[in-house]
Amino acid sequence: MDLATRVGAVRLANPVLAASGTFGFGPEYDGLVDVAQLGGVAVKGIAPEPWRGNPPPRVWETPSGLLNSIGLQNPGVEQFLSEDLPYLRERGATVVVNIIGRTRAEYATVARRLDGEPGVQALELNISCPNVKEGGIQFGHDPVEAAAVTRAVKGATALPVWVKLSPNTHDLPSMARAVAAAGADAISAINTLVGMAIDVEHRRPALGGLTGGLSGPAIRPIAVRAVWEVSQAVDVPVVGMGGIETATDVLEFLLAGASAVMVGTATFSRPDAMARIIGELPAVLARYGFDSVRAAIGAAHPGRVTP
Amino acid sequence: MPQCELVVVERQEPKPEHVELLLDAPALAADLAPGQFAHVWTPGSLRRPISFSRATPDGRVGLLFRVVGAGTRWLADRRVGDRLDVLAPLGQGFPAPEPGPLLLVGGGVGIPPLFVAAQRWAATHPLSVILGARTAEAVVMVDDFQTLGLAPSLTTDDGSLGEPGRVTGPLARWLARHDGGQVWACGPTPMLGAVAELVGEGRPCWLAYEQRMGCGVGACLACVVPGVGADGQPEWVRVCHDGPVFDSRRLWWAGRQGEG
Repeated sequence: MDLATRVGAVRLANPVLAASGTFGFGPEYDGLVDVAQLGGVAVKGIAPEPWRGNPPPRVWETPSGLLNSIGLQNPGVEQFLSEDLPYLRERGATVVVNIIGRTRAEYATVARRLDGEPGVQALELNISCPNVKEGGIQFGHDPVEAAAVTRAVKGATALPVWVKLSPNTHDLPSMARAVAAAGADAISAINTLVGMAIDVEHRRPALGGLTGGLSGPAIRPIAVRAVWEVSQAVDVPVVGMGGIETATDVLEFLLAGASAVMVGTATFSRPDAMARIIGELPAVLARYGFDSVRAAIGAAHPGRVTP
Repeated sequence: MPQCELVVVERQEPKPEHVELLLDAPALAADLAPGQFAHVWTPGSLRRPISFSRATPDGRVGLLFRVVGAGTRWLADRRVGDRLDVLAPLGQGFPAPEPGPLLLVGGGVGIPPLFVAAQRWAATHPLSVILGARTAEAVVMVDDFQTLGLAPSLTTDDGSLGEPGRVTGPLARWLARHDGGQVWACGPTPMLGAVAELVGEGRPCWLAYEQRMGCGVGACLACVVPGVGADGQPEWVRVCHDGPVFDSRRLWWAGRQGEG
């Protein structure tokens, strides 16, 4: 079975990547996950300088999902390059660096610093974290702003730029068209949805940041819809994510139009989730009549020749 | 490789809503540091971090927990012969103690990891133990400490067992009686803060934290608490990976902010 896929110019041995924010900066899952076996690793969002993040508590379990309010805590790009990237590079991982900033210039600064850095295959432009007031989401609700920051980053690096979009918007196709026209090489969909929970025992919001981002199987249908809409709206490839737990879930995203997928929340519960999914994917593809990952991409769209 | 399936070989209910599962795990039992924890799979989206409560010479480890929600309810329903999917041992445990007296202070479900410490060090160090909780029904493992020849001082908020009040009462008396020595504590965060403040910076004080946790391995940055960075400024430290046991001087207490 041919599991290889491409996201624009980035070739992946298989379509399953670790989702940003759930896999740390590289070495944290050492001994539990072999990063070389993954399609790739999207590291946690990196800013030009360290960010402190939000007050705890930062996670809360919900029905079929998880609320988080981490707030983009990160050690800054220099520490990432000196302490974390070498781990991933030495193991041969395909690395996608998620980048964040408070301003257009900050995004461009990180992108420029990572340009030409050995071991980095792509940047994922995070304009969709719901947990910070400044740090992306102000760009993620406005097609004009989103396009401007995409252009700024494209101008600062030769690396492929994937733009990660928020589902917390009424018009995802417009956002996708705007960033694609600004030069995005791919679109990641989706980031978490804004949610909230109350800790009834202590009579207060469950999260220190008050609201948080909802992930996990609860949001999978929303993510599938987003991938479907975005892949119809633009010609650039789509990387799909949102509640993926099984190889059948991966196939669902491929059929909806994703060229690759990311697995996040499932790793918390099952660190071996991605390895298991990759192991089961050939049999699942074969069962539904596909001889490769590429054959399944977008195959549920009208007008596609059924196999 | 810290992900494993372990078989439940014994199940106890030491107090109402408290369950201890004993697991067959010879390698873990031999190597466990007091304060280390297991991240145990439950049917929801997150595992549950539970400190080890004992390590026995015949190769068993214990997980003692209070039933507080759906995840711990599911765990409490496990029976002998069931298997648990466990990441363990995780985190930094208590270090080897310095020579001299060692005081263990446990609050509620913070008591179990201190029993592992007592098992490990009772033969080589003069040990004192203070155990407290809101009510008698949450003071666990008293008989276990007694089997080691120890006589824990007990406190309860409601006076239903031992001395009415908090663990800080007997702690203050122990500190007054001992010039040196060291204090290890585990319990709710307000208790840990009170212990750190009373002990001060003159003697070693190590504290084991409880915090809601995501991945358990340091990746998601969910379980942070305020610590003191190398530059003396506050920085988040991860309970799962940098802790759960911390040198109290590495933690940023509310009272410390005035000094900075």
